[in-house]
Amino acid sequence: MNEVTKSFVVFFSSLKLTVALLAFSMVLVFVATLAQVNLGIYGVQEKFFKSFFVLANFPGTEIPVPVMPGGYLIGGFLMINLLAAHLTRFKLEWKKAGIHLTHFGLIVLLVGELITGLLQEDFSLRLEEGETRSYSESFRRNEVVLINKSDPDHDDVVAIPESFIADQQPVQHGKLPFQIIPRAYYPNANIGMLSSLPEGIDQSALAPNFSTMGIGPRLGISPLPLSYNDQERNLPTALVELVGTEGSLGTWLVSPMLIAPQPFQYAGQSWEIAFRFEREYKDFAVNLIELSHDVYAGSNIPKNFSSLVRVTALDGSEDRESLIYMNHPLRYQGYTFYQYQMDSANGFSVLQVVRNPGRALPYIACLLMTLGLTWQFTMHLYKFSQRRRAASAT
Amino acid sequence: MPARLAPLFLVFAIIFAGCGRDEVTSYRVPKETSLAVPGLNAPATPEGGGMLTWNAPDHWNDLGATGMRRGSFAIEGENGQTADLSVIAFPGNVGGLAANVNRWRGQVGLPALTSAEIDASVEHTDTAHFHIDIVTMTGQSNGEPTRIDGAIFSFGTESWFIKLMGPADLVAAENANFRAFVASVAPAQD
Repeated sequence: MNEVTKSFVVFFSSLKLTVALLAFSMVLVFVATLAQVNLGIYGVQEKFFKSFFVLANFPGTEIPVPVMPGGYLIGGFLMINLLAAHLTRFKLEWKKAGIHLTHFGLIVLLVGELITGLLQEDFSLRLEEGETRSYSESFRRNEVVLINKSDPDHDDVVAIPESFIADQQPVQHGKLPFQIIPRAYYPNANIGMLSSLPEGIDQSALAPNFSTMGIGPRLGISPLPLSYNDQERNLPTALVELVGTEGSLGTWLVSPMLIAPQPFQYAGQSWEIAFRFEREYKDFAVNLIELSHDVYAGSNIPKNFSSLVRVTALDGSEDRESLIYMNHPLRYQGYTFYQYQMDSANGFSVLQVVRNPGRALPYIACLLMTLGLTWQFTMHLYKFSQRRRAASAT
Repeated sequence: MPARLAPLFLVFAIIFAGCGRDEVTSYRVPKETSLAVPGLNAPATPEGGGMLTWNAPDHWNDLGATGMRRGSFAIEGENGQTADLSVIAFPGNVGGLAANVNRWRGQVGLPALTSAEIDASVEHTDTAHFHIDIVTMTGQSNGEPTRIDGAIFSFGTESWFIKLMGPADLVAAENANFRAFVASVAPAQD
């Protein structure tokens, strides 16, 4: 083993590293708990736990610099530390099997958390009775979409994540005959018709609106502070300019508050532009056949919410009905559909759609750790009783 | 940590600090029907505004007109629960029905609906004096099940909004009273 490899092994298998990482994780939890006041649970998870480094802007600039290790780094190093310690210090023997099994369970738990953090998807699927959808929508993320409507059977969609718009980063894409240049971005804003603003409202308090196309010129933008309430959703507004080979096509005001996409023509083709909740299309469609909202007799206290749905694979390989209700989600193609919200008066149901490839790992980890600890304590008890028997015999 | 490992950690930090970038994606989907842009064809409202009168149940605590409110009531339920009823008027159509219903939906943590979805969900009622759009929505506010029963109508050049918001079971229990209140709204007699 050469010098560098040796120093790696010594570093990663040391107990000092374990203590340092545990100390870092305590600091991380403490700082993240305080930050939750401003960022909310989702924001804190993203910034502190689902990251390798916690980033902060360098003072006076917009340049992000790492300020402390994030959850993935600490968790990853803890796992490497545990593995390295086992390989170098622990010996594989029956009397230590309990410790090995417990530690292995811990590793499975850490890996499971990493898989969940990296791969879990969480969307909502809102369906009216009789409606069929083959996509779900993000609870938080938004996207600017440019839809080519020229094909009689299909729509060609180019989806630009909100982060590009927030960074005001121009986008050139092979499927677009023009460039998209974000000109202004408000992460949370109200928009309203200028002709319908309440009297006495100070128009100078509105954000500058230099849109030239679509409904934009008739709207006022009123920026709002970002909401970190987990029950509320921020609705962004952006001004987006499209630039073709012969110059600007105009500037559009886009926002998820504008429910319909805005149509325009370019080079003989029909296009639409919209800022909408981020969609994830699936290769199956869900149809809401019937929803029911039962209450306890003689009261308005909810007894049961349920949605009868029909799942149809787009390739025709699956066509079945399923009843989704509390604690009885539908599992299909790795997705789990939970009953989330319902408005029976208005005839719609909202399902939460979760995909988590690592969902079984915490159960396996707990089982391994239970077996490990049981083995360990049983062995101790056995040795203790043997010693006591020996002592009483003498 | 040995000093020779420091540059490796720095490289690691820089690589992972830049991870997780979003990407522009493109895909083809079966044709979807476009919706009409809300607010583009807002109906003209008649000239002139005015004041309205209404009859409220005895157990509603009348708080009178305060601030922006033309009328305000506090409704107490069991276990100290309180629902709030507000009567507010704004000039014009204030962004149209869809924008206002979605604003209320946002207040109870529900996602926005398309104008077609909203049109389909609205209950249209004709009272002795007005054509009224009634909406009901149940979501959550501060983690508690919260319901809004709302009524929207035009009077003169103004849009009027009557909103009953509070704990879901209390608002549900007051639904009949809310409807009676809405039905009682009438132009004030000079």
